[in-house]
Order: sequence, then structure tokens, then C-alpha cells
Amino acid sequence: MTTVATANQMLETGGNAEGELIERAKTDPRAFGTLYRRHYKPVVGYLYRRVGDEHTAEDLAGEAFLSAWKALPRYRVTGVPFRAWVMRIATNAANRWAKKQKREAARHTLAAEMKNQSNEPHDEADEARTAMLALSTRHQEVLSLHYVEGLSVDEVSAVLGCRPGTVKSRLSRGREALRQELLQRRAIDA
Amino acid sequence: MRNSDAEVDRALDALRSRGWSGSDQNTAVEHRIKELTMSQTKGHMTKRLMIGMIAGVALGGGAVTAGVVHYANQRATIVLDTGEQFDVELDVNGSGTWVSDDGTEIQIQSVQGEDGEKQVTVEMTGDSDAGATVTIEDDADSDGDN
Repeated sequence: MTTVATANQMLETGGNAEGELIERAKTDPRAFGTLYRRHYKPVVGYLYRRVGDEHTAEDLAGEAFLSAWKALPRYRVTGVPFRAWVMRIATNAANRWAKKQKREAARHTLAAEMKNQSNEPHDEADEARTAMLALSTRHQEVLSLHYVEGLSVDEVSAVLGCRPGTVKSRLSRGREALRQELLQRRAIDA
Repeated sequence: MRNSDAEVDRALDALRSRGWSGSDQNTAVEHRIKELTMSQTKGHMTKRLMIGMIAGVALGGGAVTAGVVHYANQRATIVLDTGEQFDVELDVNGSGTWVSDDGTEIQIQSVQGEDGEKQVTVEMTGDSDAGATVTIEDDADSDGDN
């Protein structure tokens, strides 16, 4: 399995310099601007791969960074790395979106069936994402962070704020859930 | 590896292959940063200006820290730290504005008080680090160099 280029740098803290920048960013919007520009692309990329739409990913990324800014005074440099912290906020935003999407998809599917219209995805990535969206958000987040974004189990554990053992167990169950979902979709197509 | 496992890996690979090709900047975040930076800078500059004005009064025509606005008739002369000098025509209400190349804006308001003394208000905005100390001089016979 290949890994994404940014995987190993995903949760780098940037050392003391970043710690100082974070402290300044608590009162200085320009310092926050530097932080945001440093971390924006990996975060919006992650959101894009989860939601499949550029505008939605941008909206969620904007929401995540503005929430991070509001919460920054409570952030402790000695805790989880800043990137992991922002990824956690972004993950929560993506999860809320996914839950809402699931509710709306149920209504749209019903409407499409009534009109006898196809609601099928266009390519393999769309198909994979549609299958992922059918899973629970707990499974979506671990599968995305580990297999798609290339984070290690420990890094996923830092992002989600749970133990590595929990991550491993969710990864195993998540893979099984995705396998079942893909099989089910194949059966329907056939 | 089971076929179904390979299928799971293929699906995850397909998701991974989607790279972000959108903008590296977020309009909402950029806008908010700019808004707060401007607001903070304006507050900062106003504070500096107030301090400068107080210092000017306390010194009674003493030192100039960053720049000087000389009042003469309905014209203000702005002298920057760099020695550059600009004239600003004040309108009939005693108002005038000067904008530098870097966007720093200086607004001047001169009002004649009931006691005959002129009151000049100067407000500076923008990202410049320059401050200003205001000197109020009579039309012809200035006695101050503050």
C-alpha cells in the first residue's frame, strides 16, 4: 500500500519556534495567519478526500480554522501537536457534515427511486467515498486518517484523543464494515 | 489476501489518489484575519497617537518622536520621520486626509474653539509603524518647534 507524501510530516510540531508562534497567535491575528497558512493545505486536503467536493471542503476548513482560533487561548503547547489539534477540529466538522449528509441522502435516494433515476457515483474514488459515507463516522475517521492520510496509529490516536488500542480495534472493524459495504454495492450492481 | 481485502485496499487507494487542487487560501479565514489585524492596528495606532499628543503637550514644544503636522492657515504640512514633507489642503470645515503609498491614512480635523484656540485632531490608520506627534501653531507667528 502506498503512503501519502505528507504522512510523516503530518503531526510535526515545528519545535519551539512553532510553540512561540502559537503563543503569539493567541493575541496576534497576524501570527495566527502564519499558523493557518502553514497547516491549511493538509487540513483542507484531508477534508476534500472525506467529502469529495472542493467548496464543501473549503467551507469546513474555514469553519475548523475559525473554531481553532476561538479555542486557541485554551490550547496548551505541551499537549497534542497543533496539527493534530486542528485535525481533530476538522474531523469533528467532517463528522457533523457526514451525519447530515447521511440523513439527506436517505431522502434523496427515496426521491430518486420514486423518479426511477440513478444515483450512482461516477468513478472509483466516488464509489469508495459513497461506501465510506455509509459507515459510522467513527469508522470513517480512523480509515481516512490512517489509510488515506497516512497517519500512524499513534498519530491517529493523538488526533482523536483515544488510546492506540482503540484506534487499532476501530481500524479492524472499519475495514470489515467497508468490505461489507462494497460487497453489498457489488451485489446490487450485479 | 482475500479478494474482498484487495477491494477494500483498492477503494482506499482510490480515495488517497485525490489530491487537493483548490486554493491554498481560505477566503473566510483570510477575511477574518485581515479584519482583526486592521482593527488591532487601528487601535494600536490611535493609542500611539494619543500618547504622542500627550507627550507633546507635556513637553510644551519639545521633542518630536515620529512626525510633525504644522498647521498654517487652512493647510497642514506633514513631516515624516524620513524627512519627507507633504501638504494637505484642509477644507472649509478644517478637514483633510493624506494617504501614503503603503496605505497609511492620516485624517486631520481642525476646529476653532469658542475661546479662539484651535483644536486639531489627527487620526492615523494603516499598517505603518510610524507614530505622530501633533504640533499646533498659529498662522504666522509660530513660537513652538514641537
